[in-house]
Amino acid sequence: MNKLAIIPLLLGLGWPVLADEQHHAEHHSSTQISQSIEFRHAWVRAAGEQQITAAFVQLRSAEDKQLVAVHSDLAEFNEVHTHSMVDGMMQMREISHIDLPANQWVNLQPGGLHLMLINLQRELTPGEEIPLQLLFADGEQLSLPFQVMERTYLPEAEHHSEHDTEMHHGHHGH
Amino acid sequence: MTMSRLLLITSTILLALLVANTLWIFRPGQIAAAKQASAAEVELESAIGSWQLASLEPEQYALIFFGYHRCPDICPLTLAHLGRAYQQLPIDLQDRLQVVMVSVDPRLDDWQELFAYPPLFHPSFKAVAGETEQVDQLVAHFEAFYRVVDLPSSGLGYAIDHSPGLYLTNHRAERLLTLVSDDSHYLLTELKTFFGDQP
Ligand SMILES: [Cu+2]
Repeated sequence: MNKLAIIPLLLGLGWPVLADEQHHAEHHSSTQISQSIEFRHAWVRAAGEQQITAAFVQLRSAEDKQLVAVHSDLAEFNEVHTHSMVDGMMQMREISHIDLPANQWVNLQPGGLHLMLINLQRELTPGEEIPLQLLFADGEQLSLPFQVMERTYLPEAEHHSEHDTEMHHGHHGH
Repeated sequence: MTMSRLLLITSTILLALLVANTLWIFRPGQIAAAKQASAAEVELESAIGSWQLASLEPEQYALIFFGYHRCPDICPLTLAHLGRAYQQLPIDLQDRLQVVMVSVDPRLDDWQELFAYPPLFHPSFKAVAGETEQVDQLVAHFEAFYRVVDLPSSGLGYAIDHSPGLYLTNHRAERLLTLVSDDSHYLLTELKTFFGDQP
């Protein structure tokens, strides 16, 4: 675990995007959080009575890594999830890990890979920032600040991901 | 065998074939029409009382989709895209288009919380819930699917796999357009095209 990487985050210096600029978050450059991992656009969807919500982030590692778990004090269960289309149905399942191939941005985003926070202990209000701890297969552990965004929030589309092209079709009915 | 006996058998067979043929020709159409009528009359509950497609005005449309209140990512994503597309529709089209989320988890969803959920994305959006048999009838009519899946190792306990489609329909429950998309620009374009083609 890279303790040095976490110190600037605790001091609030590791995250250049303030709450009042959050709608510009997509345009900000990434933040180096350890010797090998960069992240950008870390956000979590606000949650009320549902007590379940999803968190998203874009990650790039300088070497091959695997994200294997997420932890937080805010939720009873913290899981790594993905969506896939099976038998014409969108299904969401827990997965054991997310591969981070060297030097490649991996996007956790709505409708795809995400971190799932289940049985939240309290409501998450837009504008606040919550820490989530990411655990990697090699034992590295990082604490990242996630911006709480409105439930209506949509990240500016990363239009060229596989997921988008897969979903961009409609067909006329009868 | 006498001639008259043979004639009787032959004519009976011919008559039987004719009757069978008649049924064969008319049955599927009649069944389809009956199914459509019953889908329009499926009665569910909304925040302001009972809801059914049949109670839409003839010039109104409904864009329905299946989901559930505890649906943690796909439903808010769908609603957010719909909200964005809907806000960009001309006001007169907004007045003719009702966005309706149909709960496929009517037993576990808290209905009051469910009803309060879509309006977060646009004040006119609504959610409906009801008896499982009624919901299933709508699901089948739109050729959508869902299934409840136990996830014992996940903190969720279960999830509901469901079709992500958006079904444009009317007071007769006609299936006018099916959209599958996670892009609000695409939804907006398709809806404008559809309404542009309407008289
Ligand atoms: Cu999930």
